[in-house]
Amino acid sequence: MIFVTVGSVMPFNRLIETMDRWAAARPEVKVFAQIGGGDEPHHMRWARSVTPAEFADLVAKSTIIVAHAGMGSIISAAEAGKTIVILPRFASLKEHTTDHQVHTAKRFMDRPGIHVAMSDNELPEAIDAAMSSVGAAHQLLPRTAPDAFVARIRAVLLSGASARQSNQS
Amino acid sequence: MRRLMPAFEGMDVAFVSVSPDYAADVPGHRFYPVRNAHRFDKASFAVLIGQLAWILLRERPNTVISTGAAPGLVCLALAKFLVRAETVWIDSIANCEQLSSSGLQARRVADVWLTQWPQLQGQQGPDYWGAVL
Repeated sequence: MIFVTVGSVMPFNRLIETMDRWAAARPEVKVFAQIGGGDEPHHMRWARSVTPAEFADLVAKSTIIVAHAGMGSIISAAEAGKTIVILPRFASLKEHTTDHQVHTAKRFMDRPGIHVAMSDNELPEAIDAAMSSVGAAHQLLPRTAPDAFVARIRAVLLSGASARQSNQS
Repeated sequence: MRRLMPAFEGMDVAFVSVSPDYAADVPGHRFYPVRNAHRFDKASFAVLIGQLAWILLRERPNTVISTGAAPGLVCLALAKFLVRAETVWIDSIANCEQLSSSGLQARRVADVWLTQWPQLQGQQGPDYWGAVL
């Protein structure tokens, strides 16, 4: 099963329409799409939004994930050891307020398990590449941030708490 | 923020999110859903400010930590001036070429002002201490 997700914030019709055409051409592949506020597709099952639990379940059941270039999608795929294809939202097409997803896509394109389509034309090819790479083991991303970063943040929280207590005493 | 959970271990933590569904991610902690608001949506902003002020006055946190976006920035500003909390801004890892607009403004209200990308740190901040990845 291919899980398509656009995040909860804004519609992303370019991804959904491209995937709808892809699903029509490949009826043997099950596709489920989380479409946000966009237009309804015709050739794949879909939901506007899914709960975090449903999302985790869809990720777990998927062969590959096709998503906007949102960090939530990228991190979820990496934590589950799933291959992901990302298509960035463009500010010029009013798909987001800034081009940060374009920057994210460029920054992450060399990572194992991540396939980037910079335009919707490139999406079918990126999906084929992702599908053929499935099974190649890539490391699961641990579910928590690196220890050193966690420790520094924790130190700030502990010092904030102790400063407050000494002010009050 | 979920990836930073070990940093909160043993602490008394209340979570605030614009997505009520995320309550399931933090079982055993107090959780407050708030209105999502974008910069140009004045009505939602007013509701959000009211909700955040009420939460802050009720919780009286020592520290407020946020990864954004606009609602996080508003919360840090209110935390600073309403309850004099220590404030921490961790700009979202989604911003690798420039800080988010909320992240830029967070400089004025964040005691600890961080980016998750080394190339974005500066002499005057933000600092880079690492990333959630």
